[in-house]
Amino acid sequence: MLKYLLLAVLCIAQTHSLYEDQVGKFDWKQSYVGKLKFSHIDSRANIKRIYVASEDNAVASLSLGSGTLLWRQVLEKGPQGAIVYFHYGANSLVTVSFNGLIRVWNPNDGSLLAGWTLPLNIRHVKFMVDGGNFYAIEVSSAIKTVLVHTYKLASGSLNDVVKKIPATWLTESTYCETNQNVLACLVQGSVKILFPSSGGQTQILEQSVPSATFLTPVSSAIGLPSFKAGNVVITVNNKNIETSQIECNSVHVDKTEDTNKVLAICVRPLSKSNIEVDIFISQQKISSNNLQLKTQIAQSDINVQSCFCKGSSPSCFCILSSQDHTTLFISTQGKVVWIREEALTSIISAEFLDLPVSDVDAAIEKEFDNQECGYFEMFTRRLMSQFYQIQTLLSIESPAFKSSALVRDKFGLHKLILSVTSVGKVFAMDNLSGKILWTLYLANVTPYSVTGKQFAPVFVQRSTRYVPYPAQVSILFKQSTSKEGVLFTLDPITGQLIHGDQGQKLGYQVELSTLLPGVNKNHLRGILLLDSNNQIHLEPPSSPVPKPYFIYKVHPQFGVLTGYFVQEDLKLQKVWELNFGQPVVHVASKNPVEKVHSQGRVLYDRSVLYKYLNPNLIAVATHTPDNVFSIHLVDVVSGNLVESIIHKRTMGPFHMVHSENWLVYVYFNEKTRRNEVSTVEMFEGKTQSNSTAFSSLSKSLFKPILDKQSYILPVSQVDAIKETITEKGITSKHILIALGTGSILEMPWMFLDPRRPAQVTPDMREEGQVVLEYTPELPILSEAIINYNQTLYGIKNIHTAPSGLESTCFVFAHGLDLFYTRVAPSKTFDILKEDFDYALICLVLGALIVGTVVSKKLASRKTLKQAWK
Amino acid sequence: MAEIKIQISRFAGKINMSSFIYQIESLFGTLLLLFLVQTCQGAYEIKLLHYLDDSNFSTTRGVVEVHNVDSNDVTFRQHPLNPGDIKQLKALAEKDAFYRMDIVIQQTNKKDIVLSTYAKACSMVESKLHDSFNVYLDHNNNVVGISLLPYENLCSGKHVTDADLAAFRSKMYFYAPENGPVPDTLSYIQKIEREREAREKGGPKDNRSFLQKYWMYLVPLAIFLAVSGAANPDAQSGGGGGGAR
Repeated sequence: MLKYLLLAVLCIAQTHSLYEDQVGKFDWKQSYVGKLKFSHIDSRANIKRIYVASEDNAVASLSLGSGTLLWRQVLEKGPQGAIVYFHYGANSLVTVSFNGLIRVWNPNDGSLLAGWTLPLNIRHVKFMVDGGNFYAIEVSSAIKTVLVHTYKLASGSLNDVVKKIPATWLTESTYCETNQNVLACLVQGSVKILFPSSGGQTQILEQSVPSATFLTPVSSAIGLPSFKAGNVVITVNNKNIETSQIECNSVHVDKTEDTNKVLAICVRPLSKSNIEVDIFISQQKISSNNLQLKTQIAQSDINVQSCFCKGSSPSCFCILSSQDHTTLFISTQGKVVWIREEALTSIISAEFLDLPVSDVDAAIEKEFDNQECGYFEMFTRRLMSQFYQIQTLLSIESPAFKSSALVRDKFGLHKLILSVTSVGKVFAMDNLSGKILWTLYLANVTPYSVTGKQFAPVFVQRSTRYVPYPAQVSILFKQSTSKEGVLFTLDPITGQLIHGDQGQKLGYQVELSTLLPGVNKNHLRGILLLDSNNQIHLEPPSSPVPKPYFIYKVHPQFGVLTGYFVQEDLKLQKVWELNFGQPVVHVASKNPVEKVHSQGRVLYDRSVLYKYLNPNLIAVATHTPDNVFSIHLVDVVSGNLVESIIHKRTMGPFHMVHSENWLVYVYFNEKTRRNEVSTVEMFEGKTQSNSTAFSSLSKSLFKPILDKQSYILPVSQVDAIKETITEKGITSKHILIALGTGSILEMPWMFLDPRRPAQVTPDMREEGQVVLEYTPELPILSEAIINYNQTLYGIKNIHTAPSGLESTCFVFAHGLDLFYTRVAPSKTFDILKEDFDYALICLVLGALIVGTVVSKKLASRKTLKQAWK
Repeated sequence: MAEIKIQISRFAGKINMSSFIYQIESLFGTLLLLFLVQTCQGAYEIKLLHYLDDSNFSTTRGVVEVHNVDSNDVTFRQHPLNPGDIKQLKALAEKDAFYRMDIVIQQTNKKDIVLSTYAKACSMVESKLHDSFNVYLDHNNNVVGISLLPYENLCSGKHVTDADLAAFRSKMYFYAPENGPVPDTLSYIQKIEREREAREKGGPKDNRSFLQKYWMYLVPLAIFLAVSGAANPDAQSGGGGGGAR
């Protein structure tokens, strides 16, 4: 009992839950739905909502005026949950998922009204909702019939006999689509229109479109189902076919209120931040407007999702979605109502960057910048900077010093989050507010992909520390067509590209890229790029390469690791090679900015166990088809295999964190059917082999001592894991675990420590160290969930970065939601509490000062009096 | 060899016409042989190639026959270095370059695996070609990596005569992977059980009487009372008087 109490006390002492009034103070959450797939605008006066379904399998409702999320339901992950049909009507929202689940949602709050499974193979079926019925239309070219299955929408029960529409014209290549209550099929240069939901004899309309090779349903007003076949827009108006020819990729068909004429809205992009919206009535352009966007979008394709129009001289509002996942809500009068950056759901790389120093500080830095200038110039510079300082002191507005919010604060808590997405869009966000500062669209690029993970390397070549040089960041992508590397170099504060919109084309396929540790005379760190011929390229070409320099390459599918030595002439010399013969699933290296404060660990008997801190150590995880998961610890300079650890009967997904002298990894144990987390800690022993500097080359038979332990993680799914990092590494480390339930758990290292003893003896406790007894199951404490009650859907990764304060670490998690917060693993020992009573301390200090002055006066009077006596 | 033995035993069985017993025997024989094959799985050859300059042309250093992995039982057959080779090696050491090796693992019925390793040429020279190989195996006893470890791993710049560099003296050690940890539920449950049992039984100290247990508190209290009573006799008498009334 006492032990449990102790454990409970320890847990409380270790977790840092928020108070209710601190909610949202250090954190923010942004919710997205992903790239739009379907949408509907409900423009009725008292509702005004937009209903959407996305490529990321989310169904949501957005407010018409601001675009904020009103409700959101996230369906099954992956292609199984893909939404293939979406319909809004009669106060219900219908979605069909690829796994055959039909769901009916309440549009007001997103609650599920009905859900049933379609007893048909969904691959060859088109859908339609009319009245209270759900129609599944099977177009079978084998029996030359269109089969219409009718179900009750609310229950899924068969409502009618299967209607058979004979269609002798059906062939293998016939392509059919539905829109509203109409089925259209493209058969060899003509479009057949069917009305499967109408009773009695089925009428078939026909329209010849000789040049058409494809057929797509087009966004259209209710009662005007339209399709686009080639360049021809076919509209079914009251069982009559109307056609119009519009040279436009994406259109919306509607009708004017009084004249009942069919109008078409056409949207085409002009540039990255400029689109044109035209309205046509019977092929006559009646209005054309130019829209200026505050973001950058893909120029290639823009899709009109849905519109609604009102008035006689039509004024329409449209939802557009572009190739780069941006959702725009515009009016045809030439106004952008709102923009949603849905690309933020596909972040592949994120980086926390320092903000520049304030202009005054920059002026001081500039004053001492150039040592070569003469005395006179130095003097004038000093006078100028002092003048500016006086000016800012008196807060006189001066044009030279526009106050900018993007300024580094004293504690380094204000940073910029640079995120790169898989669609080629780059965002800079303010970490305190989550506001997007700038966006950049990089066209015709695709990210790199290794072991199924997409990534685009981001290199921070120069931070903002080197005034007057601006910060510089490079992002490496590959070209979509040639697969050759493209390097985009930019100033992260302004988002200004240095080599222009197209980036710097490298002209070779990049196999490996890394940031060099040395800086050139402009304080710029070089990038080393390796092409497919094992040729080294440096960017900028004059970058210094440290000596000796080793690089390693991993071939994930063959499980081959190769180490190279970079020679004087920048030629590679293969020095070592390992061959695991199994596919590599994960490679975990240490965070290059990580610092380790303590070289050893003090044991309870006062002796020191030295940590094995090999900076060149990586952990390579392989997984064989017979479910053996192996972890290999490899020194990538010497090519030594420090240790291999195998886990039999395990399954993915695997997650791994490698930091300091330890390794944490999560896997699914197939035998016991549960998630397990194993930890490995490496020690040199009671003596340190080399206390001054570590060298992999002075190798011997020395092997570190490995402490291993395994724990049960009582959760069904782990999405990502990451360790916290702080500036000097004094603060203890916590592990952040993104659980499948949508929460991020902050697990103190103390719980995962492989050296947790089976029995805590009194002398272990005496030394003031917190030692926890081994328990096989890790506790999931609700206080340790850093996103408290804010569920985060589909977390893809967690990024951590140190702040200027030793106690604090930034956390940025992204998936369908973005979540930012800061954590203090060892509590905020260097920050005053929020509710710190400044008034009281001022009062006390003031009183003390007054007291001293008064007592001094009194004392001097007394001594004077005594002297007169 | 295995095939022949099985054949003989089967043949014997046929001759004696008591085939049943002999078939069992032959089954045993097969099992035994399979077991032997299993333990001797490391019976293969490792070819050692080395680079004595910075070029990409390697020369054969020798061959290692691996007999048994578990007991590190190997036979080295290495060519001695000729004066030209020694000169090249010394030149490498002078330049502080690397002595690189390619290792070809030749197993029957399997594709050759080529691995590489290296060491500083100067440490090779200073350890007088006295080195050891660490061979890392995976869970199926396949070789995944080899590292070369010269006897002296740091270069001190001492002079080594050519005579010392004539022949290699090598050793080979095999390292199998370690089994990963598993959550130790069993001993934890046993511990909990033990604690529960101990609780149910009750501590052995509980059998003592109240006085036996708390005498250390009661004695000082009694002494204190006695002392305070002795120091203030009036109060005590007053109290006593009260008691009498």
